Amino acid sequence: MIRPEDPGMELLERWVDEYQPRVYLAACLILRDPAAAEDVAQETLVRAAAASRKIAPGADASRWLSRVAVNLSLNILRSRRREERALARHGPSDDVGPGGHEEVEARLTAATVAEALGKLPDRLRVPLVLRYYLDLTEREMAALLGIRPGTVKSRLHEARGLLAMDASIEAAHSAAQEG
Amino acid sequence: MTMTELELEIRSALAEEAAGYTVPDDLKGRTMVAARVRPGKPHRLVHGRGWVYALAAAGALTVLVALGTLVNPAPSQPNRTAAQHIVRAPSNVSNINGPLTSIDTSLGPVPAQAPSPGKSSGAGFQQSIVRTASVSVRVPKGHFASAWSQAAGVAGRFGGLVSNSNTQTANGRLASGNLTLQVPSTNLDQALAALGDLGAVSNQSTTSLDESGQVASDAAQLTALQGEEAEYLQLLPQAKSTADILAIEQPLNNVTQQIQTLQASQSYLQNQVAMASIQATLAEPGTQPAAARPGGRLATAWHQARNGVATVLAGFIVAVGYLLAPVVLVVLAWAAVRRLRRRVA
Repeated sequence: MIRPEDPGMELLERWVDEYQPRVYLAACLILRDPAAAEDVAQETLVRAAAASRKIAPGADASRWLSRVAVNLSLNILRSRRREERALARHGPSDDVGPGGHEEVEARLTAATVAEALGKLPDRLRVPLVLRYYLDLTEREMAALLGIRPGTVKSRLHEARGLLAMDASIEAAHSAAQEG
Repeated sequence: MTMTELELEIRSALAEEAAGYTVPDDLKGRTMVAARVRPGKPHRLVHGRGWVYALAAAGALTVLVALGTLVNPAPSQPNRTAAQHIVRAPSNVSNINGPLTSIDTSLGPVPAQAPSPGKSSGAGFQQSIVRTASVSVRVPKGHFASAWSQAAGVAGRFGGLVSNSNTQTANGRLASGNLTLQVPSTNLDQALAALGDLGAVSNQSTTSLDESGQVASDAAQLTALQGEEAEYLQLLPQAKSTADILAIEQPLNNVTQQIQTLQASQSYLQNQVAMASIQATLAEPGTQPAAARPGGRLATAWHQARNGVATVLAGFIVAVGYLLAPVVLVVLAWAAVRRLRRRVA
């Protein structure tokens, strides 16, 4: 336990001021759930404080905190997926209703890059957040996601391809409307 | 759109989306409170299911160590619950064997220099001595009943009680028996002398087990835990949300539980120090108490068979104990190698 007079508290306070907002926002981008992101941001800093001695002097605390936050967020995503699978097996039918799929497709064709990002599945969206928001290397991403670096590359490629396609469709759509 | 443009667009879109979220004002405060009251979860050493194996191995190791302690108790750590029944390498023992008409005071039950239980031996140090004794007395033939009655009366006379007793018959009448007396430790010597007066003492031993270290250790631990409890109680009013309260209450409950357990242990030990235990055996000549009487051939065979089973089980447990450490190491190594392979792959 960290006691109020513990020097670790000063370090924690500094980290909270410097890094917690970024950790929170990264968790928001991954989870798209501010409440869960708050839990992740809090847990990340508490764990960091408890394990602060493990960080080598001069090491980049920001990257270390980012990795902890991403790990915690991924755990939540996995837990969600398990629940969704369980619901699909035992819960009520996941029928989206008449015209549901068509509606999603219609939205995608009209999406901007930002909107298209929101529609990407977690397996493609999370690598984009790690790469372009947290600036992690492909090797770091592979370690965090538990996949091969090659798979990271292919997922990034797939995600960018989808976004480029959406952007092209959007551009063509806008041009047709203007024409 | 080129790849670089697209990447810039993605960065910009992510930054824009992030800007749409607002960092809660109280997040910092809640984090600081949580860090004060709750240690962070340690990072897992072994990923995947490895931690399950590690936990299982640790649990098995604990069970085996506990079983091993029961089968072969260590002399340096006597089983306190049975302290009054066990004589093992005591710090202060006198033992008299063979037929005696009276107790040899030169080999008396407790030497004069032996510390009294629960008394200070200077410099403010409180010694806690658990005293136990056993005595076997041969009573004149035909006098067992009256001797038995007087033996039971010894406990009351010296401010104690009889906690256990059993008698055996020979030729249709009571001829031998065992009883356990609890008397104040300060009266142990007088009680033993009174029991010896009932006949001829054939065997007597006393044991003084110094539990001062345990008492001091318990007291120090209790003080530390009470300090920790006070800290939690001070933090409780600072909690700003239900999550904070829960985060404080869980460790607080744990500490309170440990305090109660220690207090119960202290109380038990104090009781053992205050009251000495005497195992007394009374028997007429030519008889033996049931516990010591050898049975017939079938009974002997049964006892041998039972002992054999216990010996085999004990051997098995010892063998598992020896094998456990290498097995745990192999499992951990396997988990590490598997993880490394995954990383490399």
